[in-house]
Amino acid sequence: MTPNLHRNHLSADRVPLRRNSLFFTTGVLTATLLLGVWLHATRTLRTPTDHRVRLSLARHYSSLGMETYQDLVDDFNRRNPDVLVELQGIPGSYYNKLLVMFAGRTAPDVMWMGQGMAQFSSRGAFLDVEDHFRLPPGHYYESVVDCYRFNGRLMGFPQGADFNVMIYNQDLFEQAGLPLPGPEWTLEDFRKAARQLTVREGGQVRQWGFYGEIDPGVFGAAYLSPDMSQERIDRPEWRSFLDFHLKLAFEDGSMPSQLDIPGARIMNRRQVFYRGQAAMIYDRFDFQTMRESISDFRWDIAPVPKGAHRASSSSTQGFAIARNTPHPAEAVRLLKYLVAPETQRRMGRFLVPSHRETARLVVEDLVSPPQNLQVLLDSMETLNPFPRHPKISELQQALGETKRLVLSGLQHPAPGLRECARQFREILGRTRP
Amino acid sequence: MRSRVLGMAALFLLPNLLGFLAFTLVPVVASLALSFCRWDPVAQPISGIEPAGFHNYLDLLGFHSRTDPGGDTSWAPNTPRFWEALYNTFFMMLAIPFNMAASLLLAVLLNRKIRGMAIFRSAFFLPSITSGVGTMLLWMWMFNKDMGSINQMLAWVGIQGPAWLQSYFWAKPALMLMASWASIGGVNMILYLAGLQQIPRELHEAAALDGAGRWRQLRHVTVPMLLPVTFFIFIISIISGLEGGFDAPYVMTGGSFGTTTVSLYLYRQGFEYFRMGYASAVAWVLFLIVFLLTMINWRLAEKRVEY
Repeated sequence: MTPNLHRNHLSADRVPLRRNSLFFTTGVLTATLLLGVWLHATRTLRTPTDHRVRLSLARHYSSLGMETYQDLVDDFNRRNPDVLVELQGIPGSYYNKLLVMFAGRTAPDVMWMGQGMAQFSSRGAFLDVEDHFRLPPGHYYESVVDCYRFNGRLMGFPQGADFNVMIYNQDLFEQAGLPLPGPEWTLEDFRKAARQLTVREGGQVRQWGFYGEIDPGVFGAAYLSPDMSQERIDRPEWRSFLDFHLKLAFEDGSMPSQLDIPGARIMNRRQVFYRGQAAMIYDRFDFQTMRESISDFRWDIAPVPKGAHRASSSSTQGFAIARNTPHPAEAVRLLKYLVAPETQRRMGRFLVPSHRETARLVVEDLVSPPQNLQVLLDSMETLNPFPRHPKISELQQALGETKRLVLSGLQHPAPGLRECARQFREILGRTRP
Repeated sequence: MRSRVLGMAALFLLPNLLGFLAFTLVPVVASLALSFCRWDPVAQPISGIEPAGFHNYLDLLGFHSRTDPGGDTSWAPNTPRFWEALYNTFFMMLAIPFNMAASLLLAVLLNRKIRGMAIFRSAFFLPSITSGVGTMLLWMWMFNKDMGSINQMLAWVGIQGPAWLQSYFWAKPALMLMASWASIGGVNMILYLAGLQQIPRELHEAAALDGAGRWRQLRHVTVPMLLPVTFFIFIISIISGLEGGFDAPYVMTGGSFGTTTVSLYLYRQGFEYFRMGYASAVAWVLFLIVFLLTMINWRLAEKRVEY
């Protein structure tokens, strides 16, 4: 009996309930449809009145440079009334997000590009701009421009370079009675100074002599052969690099080992330096931030100590155009504006221009500290950027893991490098995804 | 009449069904197909997908012989990184039994009628509804070698704390500790609380009359009566342990110091190196592991768990 009752009870209510539901559902669907049509119509109706070509310009989001970039974009829009550029700040993993945008066919028209150049170029992501740039010989730093070449063709163009320099606390050097680092400074001089500048209190290090990592290029170490087909990892140069840093960390105790690094992902080496806990750091020179952050002591910059070679860890800053942009002519116009010498000069607080004469002017414009601004121009001649290899992220990750293991004292350099070289060969040998 | 009812049902189900098709079924089938292909979505359009047979699986699970400089030959995995990631994932899952036991104990403690109990329950549940990345950043500070509160507390008792997140020995336990903090008072505790409230009071009364103390009541009444809940939590924890473990290593260590889990490895292969076929193969191998473990659990539970 109960089931019947139940059914009767349901059937009594069902008709009005169903009708209401049907009306409600139909109403919601219709309203949604109408809203969609209205939104689409307003957008389409608005567009014809605006004849400007819309371009998107992407760069990694950072509060520091965004304002300057917005100024550049506004200036370009003023000078080019037929084009409307919209600046897009991408926070976090910039290259990764750009690659995902390319994969989703929603890439920006023009984008900021640094060491990720080859990852994109090898995938055919960028427009070939070789024919749009006639470069008078000697006017540009060739090593910087070369970073934007892929298979001999220009796939983008640099604004300039940023690189590591030795940044030191001048007060601490003078207090320790040490000569200030100069151009003839050797690795041994540096090691001695780091040892003397390390201060211990109650068994704990209060002040590190050095915090960072000297460029492997100083030891002659390279990731790959010049044609980028072979690994160059399991070699004496890398062994020297690791041995030198192991000596600093474990023999002299003048540099924090990987185990000692105080919350590397929270407080970077520059912050350690600002707090007076490190006498020297080898880090990216950032004129504006450093000037704003250091007020308690005198500081200056020096070239990287002289080893088998001169090399400054560096990156480049430039722009590239998406190959599938619907507006290539306007995008090229924007690219040319962004990398023009006068724009490079406006960006002088953030980079050293790729145009030689502009670089000289920018460095002249800078006010001290630091005193030794010539280091900036000298470093431009010894830049050692990461190889522009399509699989650079994978290679960097493999090498980074090896360095962490070895410099933590958990693995001997020889087997570490052997294993890393094997991984490099495996990554390089994989010709297809 | 029947067809009209079916039509109505279909209409109501349609939005969900479309979502399921577009965002679950099609991607799952596509990933299975992709696992037998090579595809870099940035470089190649969909039409450029190349068949690769079992190449991705061989790359992932295969071994090759290797000759050392000394002349000794040994077998080595084609992709040691995957096996390391798998080891790291299983290692971090060692916290599961501890977390479950702690959740049970907490639930027992919170299953009392005391004034203000709702406040305690909310307080313990709070970590599981707090923003994940926010708490991770907070824990990064707490784990800091020099300034972190954990090492400062250890220093009070004369112990020099390690560099928790920069050490191959401590990074995994540190992440496990943080995960335990978030999960002990979380959903597991709520499930145990619900389970505890389902146990007939008479069983405890009868046990007490027979002279059983609190510990024996817990052991012989509460725990057996909670076996179905425990089994459910265990299965879910195993699944989420294998599939999870992405956000904490990604945010706190970047996968360094032996903290790359399978899910982080999969993400890197797919969305950093754009090896979509290989990443799909990793996903399917992970699915098979989850499936096998769940089957084993189910078989074992059939003999022990009564509903």
